[in-house]
Amino acid sequence: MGLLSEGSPLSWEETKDLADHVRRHGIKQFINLYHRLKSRTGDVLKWGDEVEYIIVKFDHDNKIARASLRATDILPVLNEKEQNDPENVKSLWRPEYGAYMIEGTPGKPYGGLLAHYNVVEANMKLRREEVQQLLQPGEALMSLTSFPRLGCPNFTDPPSTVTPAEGTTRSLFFPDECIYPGHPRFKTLSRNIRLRRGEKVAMNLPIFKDSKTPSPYVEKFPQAPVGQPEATSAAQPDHVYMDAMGFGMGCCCLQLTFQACNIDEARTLYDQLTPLCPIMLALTAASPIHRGHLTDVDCRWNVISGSVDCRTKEERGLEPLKNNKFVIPKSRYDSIDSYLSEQGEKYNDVPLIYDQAIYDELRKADIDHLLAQHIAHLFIRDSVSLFSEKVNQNDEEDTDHFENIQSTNWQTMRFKPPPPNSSIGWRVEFRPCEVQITDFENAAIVCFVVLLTRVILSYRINLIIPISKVDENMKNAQKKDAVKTQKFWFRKDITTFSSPPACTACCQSSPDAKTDSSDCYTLMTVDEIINGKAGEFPGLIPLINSYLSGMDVDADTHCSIQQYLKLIQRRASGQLLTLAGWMRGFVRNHEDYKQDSLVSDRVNYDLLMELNAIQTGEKACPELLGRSLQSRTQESIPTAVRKAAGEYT
Amino acid sequence: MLHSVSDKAKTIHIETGNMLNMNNIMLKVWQSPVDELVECLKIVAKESPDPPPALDDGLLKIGPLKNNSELANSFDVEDKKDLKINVKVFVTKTDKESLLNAVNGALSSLATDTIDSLVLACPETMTEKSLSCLQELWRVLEDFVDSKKIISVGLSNIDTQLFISLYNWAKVKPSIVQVNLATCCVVPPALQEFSKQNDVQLNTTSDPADILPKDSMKQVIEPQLPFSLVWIFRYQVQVKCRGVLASKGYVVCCQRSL
Repeated sequence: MGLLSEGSPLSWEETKDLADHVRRHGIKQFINLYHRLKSRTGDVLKWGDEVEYIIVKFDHDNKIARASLRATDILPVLNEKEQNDPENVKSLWRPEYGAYMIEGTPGKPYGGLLAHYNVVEANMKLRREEVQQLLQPGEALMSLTSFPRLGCPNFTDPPSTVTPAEGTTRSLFFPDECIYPGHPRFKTLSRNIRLRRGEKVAMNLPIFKDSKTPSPYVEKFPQAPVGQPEATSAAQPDHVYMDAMGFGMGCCCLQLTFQACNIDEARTLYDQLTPLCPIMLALTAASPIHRGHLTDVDCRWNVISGSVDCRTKEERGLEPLKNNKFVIPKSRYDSIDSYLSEQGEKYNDVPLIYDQAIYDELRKADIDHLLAQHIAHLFIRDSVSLFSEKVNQNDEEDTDHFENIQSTNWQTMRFKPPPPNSSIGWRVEFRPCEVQITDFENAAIVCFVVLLTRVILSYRINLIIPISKVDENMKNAQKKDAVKTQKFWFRKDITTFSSPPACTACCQSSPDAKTDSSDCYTLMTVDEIINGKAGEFPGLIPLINSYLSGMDVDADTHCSIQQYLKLIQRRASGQLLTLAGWMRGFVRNHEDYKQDSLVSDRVNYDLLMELNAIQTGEKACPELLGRSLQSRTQESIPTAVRKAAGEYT
Repeated sequence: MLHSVSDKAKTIHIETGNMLNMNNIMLKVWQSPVDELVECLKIVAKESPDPPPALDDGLLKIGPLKNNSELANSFDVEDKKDLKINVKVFVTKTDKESLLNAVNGALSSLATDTIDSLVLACPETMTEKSLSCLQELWRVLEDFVDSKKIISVGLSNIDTQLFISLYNWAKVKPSIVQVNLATCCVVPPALQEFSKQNDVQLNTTSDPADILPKDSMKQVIEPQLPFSLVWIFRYQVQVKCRGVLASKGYVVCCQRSL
């Protein structure tokens, strides 16, 4: 979840005092790296996925599933392989926020051949198998967006206890022991976010009102420290209250990063994929249960957003500005606020907050308006984690201060400059997706998004809509059953350049004129966006198929891609359930469920056992995965394809 | 539709130009490559002067449209080496001359010295027993490979046994075989096995054997005109290692019937 600098963390007071120091040098570092790397070009397509996992411990005797706090045992073993043979390992492993989490990525990025789409799933399988070998009896590795009973009594193995009156988080639900202890970053962030905010974080998700759910639903918190009303005062009736960073950053995501050929292509892809973020969030919805309650939302997004919301009351607009500079509308984890390409400029319709002096400094250093305001906007945030060894840096070479702020702006998209002294180019990271239970689904989502980037570049289509409309979509995307019930703003006229004369007659206006008008976008269902709407919108999958028909695809890759696209098509049309929809149904139909929104230990155990059986293939789940969908994924690129690609791979 | 041509015209080339620049073509959902091609040819024919001026050598060129003549979209490609030019040739007759003409036509239309890969779509008339006929065509392609004008060659829409026989006979081995997977994932097992053992790329295609049926051609050229289809080639220009298409188009050749 960001830069993992090693060292000794400074106290919050020290970090706070150095906020401007980090900002000042971070900006200088960005200016230097920008001028060093702005003309870098000719980079090939390389890309990779990141899958996060939860280690689950099944207590079969008592029928309880718990989060197993064993990442600290498992990670060193996984990392040892990498240290011994960094060039040849098939996977890389990193810690994540939760002491029950790990993050896996492919050992090397995938490349620009179509055949690379066919190795993704096999690599994901290998990763699982690698961890599998290190698990103890009763343990399972699950790519589960959120552990359903996270924060419920006794949800960890070994048991852990909350310390509401002291410690890092002071949560009523999420013990400090659940924060990954192997790296100081995670506890430091948790503490500093709470201290900067001036109180615990607070997330309230609307509860799913079932037939026997009390109304209003009001929880009592006997564990709250006596005489500290603020420990529970943020809890709202009819909501599931959460009060720790772990509820958000302790969730798993599916992310992907791809390298662009140069900075301009990176800007284009950053902008073009932005409107897709809410759509992919709705389509991958996988977390209807939070802290043991069925909620009225299907996604993790707002939970994470709230879980790292370090804004003070002044910054949240609850008190007049006195000690802070700005009222800031969003958490540092949220949807992006501005486009970066010229094409996107006129759709930047949300007021962008930034320090004029920082913006001016960037402009003076010959950085264009769009990039300058983007960077200046990221830099309204303070550092929330600083290490004593990293305070003084060489701004000509180092980029730690820049990365410090950049990597704690957790947004739907991330625009990533090349790291210093590396062969890596300008990159874009796509971050909204919830992780799915099977490798097949995760591979499908990853391949779909990367294929779409190729369509965008090949056909030069334009998907951009106003930022305010993307924000609106983000809200709706998280609602229960959003795929089936919500409509989303989406661009219907995706053409970008003038057409041959024969068809100009059928277009109402010239491309320049129409981009300014609001009728270039409209409300569509996810089904219409993905599968098309006759006469109005071609659909993203038909466009991908059109692109594929123009490429050389080997038969196995073709088959796998078609299976992946079918999954996406059917999820979008509602023919197959989202994981969130499936989980909700499983809980509501469970004999131990009492129609009161509560997910008991027993229901949780059966749910996770069932999901694990689906993931391993022991059980079929046609309502989630279809009846016959199966890829032909392979561990490596076929020799014939490699030979044909010849010298350029 | 092309209604009339000068008596001097012996051959007609209809060039689509880069279809990626034709939004109305690329952003539509086509049932098959045939529909896409016909629609595109209709647009080109419609926009051409009627009758079009014939050239002295008897070649009548129609298209590409003016704003569509640039071969490949620019993708900050530093030089042509970063592009991969793929051509697929469809012939209606199995004579050497037609194929020779088509390949030379491709080299000159694409203004290139080399084609990275060329796939020959076998005419529907070819069966298991057409080996000698196919060998004759294959020799034409081998000559182009020998003179380094084509790097690799392949075959499409071919009977498995015929492919294996040709492979075993050929001096320059086919490195690609394309199969039409109308229903996904069903590759003839013998072909799968053979291509795996010999490192032949087994690729998929959505092209039917007859990419431009006579009935469709009637929508492009007035059926009364004494011209018939001889060959078609499609080119696809990709940016290497980036999975990006830079250009896609067709050239259709018709000859005056004798």
